[in-house]
Amino acid sequence: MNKKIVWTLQIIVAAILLPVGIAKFIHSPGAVYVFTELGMEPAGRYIIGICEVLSGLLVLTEAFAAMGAFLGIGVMIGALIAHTTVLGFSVQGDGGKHIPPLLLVLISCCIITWIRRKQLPFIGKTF
Amino acid sequence: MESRLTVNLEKMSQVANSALYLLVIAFFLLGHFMSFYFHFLTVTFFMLTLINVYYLYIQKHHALLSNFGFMAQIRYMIESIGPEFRQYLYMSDTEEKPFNRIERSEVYRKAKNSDSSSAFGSLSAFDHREIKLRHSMFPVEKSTLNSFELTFAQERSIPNVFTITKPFMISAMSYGALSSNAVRALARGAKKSNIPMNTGEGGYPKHHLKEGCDLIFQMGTAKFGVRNEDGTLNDAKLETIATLPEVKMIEIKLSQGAKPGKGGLLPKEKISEEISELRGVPMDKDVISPPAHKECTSPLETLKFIRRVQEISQLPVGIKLCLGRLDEFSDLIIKMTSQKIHPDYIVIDGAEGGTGAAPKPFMDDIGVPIFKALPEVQKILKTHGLRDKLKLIASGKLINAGKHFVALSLGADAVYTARGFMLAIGCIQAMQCNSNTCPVGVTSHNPKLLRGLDINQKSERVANYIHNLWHDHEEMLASMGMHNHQELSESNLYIPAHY
Repeated sequence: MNKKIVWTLQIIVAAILLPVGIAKFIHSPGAVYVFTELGMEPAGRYIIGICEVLSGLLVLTEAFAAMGAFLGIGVMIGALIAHTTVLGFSVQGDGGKHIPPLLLVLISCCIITWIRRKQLPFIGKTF
Repeated sequence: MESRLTVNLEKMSQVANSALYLLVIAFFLLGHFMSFYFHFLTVTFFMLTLINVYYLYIQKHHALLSNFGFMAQIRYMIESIGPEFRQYLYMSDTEEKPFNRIERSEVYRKAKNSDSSSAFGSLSAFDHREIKLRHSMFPVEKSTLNSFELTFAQERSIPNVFTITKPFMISAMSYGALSSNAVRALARGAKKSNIPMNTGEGGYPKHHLKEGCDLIFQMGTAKFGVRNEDGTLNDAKLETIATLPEVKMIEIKLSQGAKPGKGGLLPKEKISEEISELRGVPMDKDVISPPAHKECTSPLETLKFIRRVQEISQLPVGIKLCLGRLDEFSDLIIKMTSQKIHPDYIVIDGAEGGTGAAPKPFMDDIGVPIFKALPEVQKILKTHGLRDKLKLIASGKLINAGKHFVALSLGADAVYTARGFMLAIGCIQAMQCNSNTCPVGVTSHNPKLLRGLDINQKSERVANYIHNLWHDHEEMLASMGMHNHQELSESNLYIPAHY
């Protein structure tokens, strides 16, 4: 039962993170705009892109899904900070359509990490 | 006024716990006003804070984590590398157990064929608690020593007697307790030096057989390899094993020094597919052998069982036991005399004997140590006129020639050692034989850890160890003025009054 839930969530996370991660590498105008606003163009865009793709790939494995989800939480918290402090919820007048997927990934990653907490390297056995 | 500086770990952890919250806020502000890159640190410390909150207020398993938060993990981290650090740096040469560094390095030096002399003085105890050997004023020439020969079952006039030419053998270690590479390295070394090796109670000795050395097949209480479904002996299977040309003797294990009164134990971490097949056991449960053979319910039944094994196998048959209650042991010996049935040899395993896995109280507190057991056994055998009819083998931490000589002087005809040979193939006493994580691949079945154990190289070490042990034997025998091992007796020993 848990297995089905966790794998469904993992696939959702990967389905969202992989495209947005790759978008950052192919200089998608939206991503370039966001990172210019944040003052992190282009290095920050690549770093976050790497994190998102890595997280998206790791959640597709059995052994490293917890690590991937943990990384995902970190990236999503960063994104939340960006939206609340610099960008605002509506970016380039899109009416805040980025926010629901962001929250979906964050919550999914939290659930995956919790269910798979024993798999976390080093700190896993303390939970 | 207090003018001493002290380190207050409790204060430090409180400061650290509060600092975490402040750092999150500080990095957030830096991220907001200086550069968004600071938010990488904001996120990292925020997540660390979450974990710390979990330690402090949610989990209830560890008092230290509840009281001091993440800083308490430092204790656990450092504690976890304690065993290694103690072995590398802090333990003195004489204080480690079960083998201290001096004992271990003696085996390593023998196995690597390197210089064996030591300087300045002995590091062993001269507190009148150790048995020492008495030398002769008139040592003999080494060239005048007679060669060693011990023939099992010669008293029974069977066609398949077995003769050993060195008074020490490789003791029982199963495939399961040991890795396949370790078993093969030992077997190849034994073959090179022409000494026999005991298979241990691990079922059909598939890996032991690969190198063609002489084998003593051990039948444990679960009778792996020769059992019926209900745990009784399967005659046909035993006959098949007994007819293998490599198998020279059969040994019925009644009990073991490390866990007398308890059956063998193989933790589930170590049960590979191959092992589960060879032993006929499931993979997901610890394998716990029964404490005794199903057939051996009384002295008489035990003797009948020994006779049965002797008749089926047509080989010398021995029993292995750790001395427990003396009345029972004498009873067994008395019955041997009256029934005219006796095993061809008896192995006395000292309580200090080793094991892959055993419950702690059995390892620590049950059974008689070897140097105490041997004289008692010797006395009982002599009293009932059985000493000349069978051979006596001693085992239990006998890893160097000095210990061998003490055992031989106390009545043994030959000795067994297991851990001596494990050290020879590279055991570093990491004490992880029960967890499949042996860092040198001696007791692990993990292919990654097996990689480091090169069979050919280590078999050379085994051969060297045997060669150098034998060298010590000859030297010591000559210095004691004797030509034969058979001349050794209790009068060669200095036994302290309080021993």
